[in-house]
Amino acid sequence: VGILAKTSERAHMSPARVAVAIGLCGLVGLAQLLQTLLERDDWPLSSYPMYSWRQPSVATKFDIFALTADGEVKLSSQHTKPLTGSRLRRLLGANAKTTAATLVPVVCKNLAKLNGPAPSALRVYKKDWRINSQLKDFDTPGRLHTIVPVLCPEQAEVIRAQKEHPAPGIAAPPGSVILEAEDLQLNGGAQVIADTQAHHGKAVSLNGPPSESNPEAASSASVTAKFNAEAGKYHVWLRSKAVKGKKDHSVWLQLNNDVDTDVGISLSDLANPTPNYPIDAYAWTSKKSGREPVVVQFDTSGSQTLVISNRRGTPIIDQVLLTPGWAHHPVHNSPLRP
Amino acid sequence: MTNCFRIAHDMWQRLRHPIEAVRRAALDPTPAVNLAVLRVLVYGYCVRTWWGRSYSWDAARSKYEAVGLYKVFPLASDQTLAIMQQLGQWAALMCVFGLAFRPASIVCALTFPYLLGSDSSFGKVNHSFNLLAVALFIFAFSRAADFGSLDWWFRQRKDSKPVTPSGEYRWPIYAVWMSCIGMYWSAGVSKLVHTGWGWALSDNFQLLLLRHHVTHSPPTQLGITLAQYPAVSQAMALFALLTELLCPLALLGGGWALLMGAMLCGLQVGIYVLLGVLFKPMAPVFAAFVPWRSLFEPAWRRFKSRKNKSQS
Repeated sequence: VGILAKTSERAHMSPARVAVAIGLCGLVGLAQLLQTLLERDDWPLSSYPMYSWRQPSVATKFDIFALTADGEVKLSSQHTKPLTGSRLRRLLGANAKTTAATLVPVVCKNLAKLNGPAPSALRVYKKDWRINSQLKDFDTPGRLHTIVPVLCPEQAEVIRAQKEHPAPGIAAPPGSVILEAEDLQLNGGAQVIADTQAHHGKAVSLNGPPSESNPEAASSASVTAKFNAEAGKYHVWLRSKAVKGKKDHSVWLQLNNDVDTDVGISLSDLANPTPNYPIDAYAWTSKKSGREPVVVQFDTSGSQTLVISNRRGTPIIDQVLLTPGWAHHPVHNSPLRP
Repeated sequence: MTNCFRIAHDMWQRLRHPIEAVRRAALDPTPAVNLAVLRVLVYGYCVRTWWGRSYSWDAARSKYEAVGLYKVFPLASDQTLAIMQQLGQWAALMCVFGLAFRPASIVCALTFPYLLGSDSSFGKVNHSFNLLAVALFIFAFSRAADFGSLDWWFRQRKDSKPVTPSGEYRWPIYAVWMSCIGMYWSAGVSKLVHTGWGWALSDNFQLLLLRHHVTHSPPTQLGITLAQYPAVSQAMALFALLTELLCPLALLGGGWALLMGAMLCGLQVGIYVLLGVLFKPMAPVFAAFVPWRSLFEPAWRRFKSRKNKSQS
């Protein structure tokens, strides 16, 4: 009490106010000390551990684009708020696919507020840089992943509506080869089915025993195509769908010399390209959700052979597209016409 | 030279008698100007940055992970947040002008920290606002509107008693210092706990400089240039780490506060220039280290002498 009285006299304050001052300063200091000792991170106090750990050798950056009728529109924090900056990076880093799905309604809402173009989907690019102190390959990311586009709710509605009233075919990218599944040679359990969602109302169901390890054994349900194509690189896309209630579908793809061997490319996750894509609706798919499409090389121009056989499930195929374009998943899922 | 010697001697004396130094730094009678300037800057920043801001989390609520106080006080609905925002922003404006400061500052302390921290529960704790939130809490107990405010002006009209220096205008600034210094010291300790001295004496800082050029947008390319010189990078990292660990010396006040305050400001500028991280909400809180009275005093004296002359 004596010290308090003496201090209050020197400070020109009442003893009660000195007690408040000392109490508050002590509280601030003690709270901070406890946070540090207990290594806690409780807002608005923290042990401030950011940057404390050794830096990882890989740096990751996410770029988010809205897919619109005008093409890709790069999104800024204005479009993704309140999920922005390092908060967004952290969420995307933890689970990009589900975060992107959460982000869709946020972005759609913000874009509408900003009078921006109506998006049909989001596309997230994840770039990884291998960082080293010698600055080797610093200018270019080592790996580039594309995370599957996530549909805006409105677009998902459009697709659901298309199940009843299929959209007319749209023009294919130049230099493409389009194969209608029902026009191909059917082998084993492959059969043409009537389907109002399919282009021309017909598709092929690969209803055969699954063969996950070996494409040769899968030929009991397959389609064979013989067509002409110029030499060069092509991205392979299938317009396909999964049977209702079964999402897990995949096929084997064999080309030219690989036909009738056990060598093939697996195209997985058919008709399951997005977290909120409706089951039992056609979508363009390729290798696997979130990956770049399959690229094949024709060394010579002229006649080519392609075989698609059942690997898992009962996939239904409407169209096969080989195109120099479409390096990423297309905005729409409409059928194509030459 | 004499001045330098005097400051150095004072710093040495404060080191020798730390308890007395802390008492002087925290409670010595001080004119009310410094605290009044800090009041305007802190609440002015709140008004400028958060006026009319919308706190709509509805679309992102699935990503909500409560941290800290939000484990006790859950995230309010968008409507409640909007009401708190309205109350907070008007109260902050009243605090800037020092109108009904006591109730207004309490409203600010009850609303703004909650609003500022709400985005910390969405995947990442936002540390930039911590100091500001603590400062608003401290100000609610202070007498920051005793000078340079509407409350003061109204009082002056009734009774023109001058505002005398008091410890009342000193301790809130000191409490803000404590929260600032606690933050940097904790950051330094965390680095030692998690990585040790290797945080500074390895290629760690080089990797940090390079990584930020990929993940952030620093205003200069200086980080890349410096990252090519391991010795320079390590020296800079060591400076940063030592500054953080030694900054509690600022609590001794006097020259220590000026020295450590300047070093911490330098650290913040370096973080922005090299790493592209700008802790804007900390800027008004850092103003607590500036001796505003010393800056204003010459101008104030000139103004007073002119006024006296014209009156005589």
